[in-house]
Amino acid sequence: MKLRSFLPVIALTMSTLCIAGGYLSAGNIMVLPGMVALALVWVIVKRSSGFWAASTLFAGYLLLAGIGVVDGLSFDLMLAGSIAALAAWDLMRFDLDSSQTPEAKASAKMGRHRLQLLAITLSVGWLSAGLAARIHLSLPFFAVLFLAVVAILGLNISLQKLAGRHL
Amino acid sequence: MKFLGLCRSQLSLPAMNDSSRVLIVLMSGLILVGLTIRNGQLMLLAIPLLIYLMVGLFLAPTEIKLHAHRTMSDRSVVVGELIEVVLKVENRGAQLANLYLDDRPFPSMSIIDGQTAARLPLATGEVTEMAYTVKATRGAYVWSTLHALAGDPFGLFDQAIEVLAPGDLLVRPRPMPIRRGYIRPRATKLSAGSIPARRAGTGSDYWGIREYRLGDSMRRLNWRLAARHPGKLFTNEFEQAEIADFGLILDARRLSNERDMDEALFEASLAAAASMAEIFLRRGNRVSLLVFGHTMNTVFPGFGKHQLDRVHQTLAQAQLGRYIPFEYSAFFPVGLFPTHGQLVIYSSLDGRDLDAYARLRAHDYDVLLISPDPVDYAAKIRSTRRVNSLAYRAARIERVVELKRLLGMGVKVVDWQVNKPIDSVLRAAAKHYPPGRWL
Repeated sequence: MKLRSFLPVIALTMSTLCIAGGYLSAGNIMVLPGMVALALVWVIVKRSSGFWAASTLFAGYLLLAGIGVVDGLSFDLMLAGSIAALAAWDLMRFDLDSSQTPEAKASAKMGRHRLQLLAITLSVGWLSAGLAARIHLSLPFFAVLFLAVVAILGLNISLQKLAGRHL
Repeated sequence: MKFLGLCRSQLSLPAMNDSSRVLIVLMSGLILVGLTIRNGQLMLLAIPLLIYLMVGLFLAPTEIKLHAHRTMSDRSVVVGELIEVVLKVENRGAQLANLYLDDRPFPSMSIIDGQTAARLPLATGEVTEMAYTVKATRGAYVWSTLHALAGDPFGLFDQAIEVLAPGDLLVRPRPMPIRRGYIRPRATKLSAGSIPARRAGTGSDYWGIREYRLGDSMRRLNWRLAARHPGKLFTNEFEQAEIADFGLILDARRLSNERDMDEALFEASLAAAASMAEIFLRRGNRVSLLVFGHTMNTVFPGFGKHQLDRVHQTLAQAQLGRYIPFEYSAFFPVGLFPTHGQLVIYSSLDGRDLDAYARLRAHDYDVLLISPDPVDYAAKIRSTRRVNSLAYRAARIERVVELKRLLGMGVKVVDWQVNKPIDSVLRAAAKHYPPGRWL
């Protein structure tokens, strides 16, 4: 067995540990039946579609992380849990796609590339969200409005550029 | 055989797939709930998802330029033979990190080895090869494109294109071994061939002796007879061998409610027609074909290998259709069956067809009916209950009466129980009837 086939399980375990740890450290044990229910749903859905089983699991973990944030549990643990769940979802989908890859060499190449990209993307995501949670700015209304307009225009321009690259 | 696929590129925005939709729904949910309950931290959970989605969108392929070659081990095979299909795909555009290729085989093909689909990365200028072995049922198969799906490395956005990769394959019916041409048509054409013309000429079969005439070859003199009759010379004569016109009519109508039986008898008739067409054409005869059914397919008279290819092509595509009266066969195109030619009809025979046979005979066609026996076939596949055996007896009597009526019209009939080889059936028929009169 290759290490790559264990990666979704490792990511899922990390996500479980982070989210469950966040809940349990606050003395909330209601997360445990929630996770068992999630596992049951995953087993049932997996019979019909691997993709939808993985997506259900991802949505469930994200829901638990969201409830935890609203409940005021550790944001860092919830963020780490949701990022690990995202990684697990991506790797599970990749495993499903890999069954269509005929050559082991091609599969390994794709896997290596994807893992590198995933690691970079999720690290950037984690840093961005983590930093954003720590920076508390109190800006006047017009400054916020200005930033919002800049963000909307920037998004519009970048999308137009992207479309221009394609068309 | 090689088929060169033309290069095709497609420029369009990548389309969302289920993965990106799931991600957008979850992300939007976090943001909306965060806005509703005014919880900034909840919205922050959406940031890694947003970055993941944006990376996928930016890395989605912009321009796909693929070039495909399809190579097949053979373009024309017999049913049951294996065909190896090799697809070479070259990337002439930007690097594709996540490319899915799907050749989508036909439903009547079974994959024996290899894969018809593959997911792989393909760098600029790189060539990948996809090979698989298939077995197909009788028919003509035409490929035009190869389905390709290029996506971003995370598999969130896809672009589907069809890459030109033409190819065609003809799967012919399995030929039935026929050792020689048992059929001796009444009328032959004035060109040297293999069919005895029932007159003296330059063939190889002994015909008779006549008195020597000036100009006769000395090699053909019968010296033994000349020794017995001093002062006279005699020449050996040989039977002239000529070519003939053969018109094949394949009955492609459903004549009963038994779908499987109709199919089995039709396939047997078709294989016999293909084999006999090959025998006739290899012996230099002229052959035409009419597949008579709901849709009529014709092959006009012709000689040689190309004509055999045309006949095989038409037979490979022949399908059983619904019932139409056999009388319509009288409306075949002018020139399809030359007058006085030999018609060979492959049909299970229906009681309503007899008038059409009479009409063909009235037009002075030499008609031979090779009739796969449906009664015998049904009796073999069904249980032998008493009620069945009585029904078979009645059906057998009805069939014999119909065949006798055809014999009375001057139609030559070969009653063929399809479990027996056609060669032995034709040989038996040729032995049973005096040569020169029948077969």
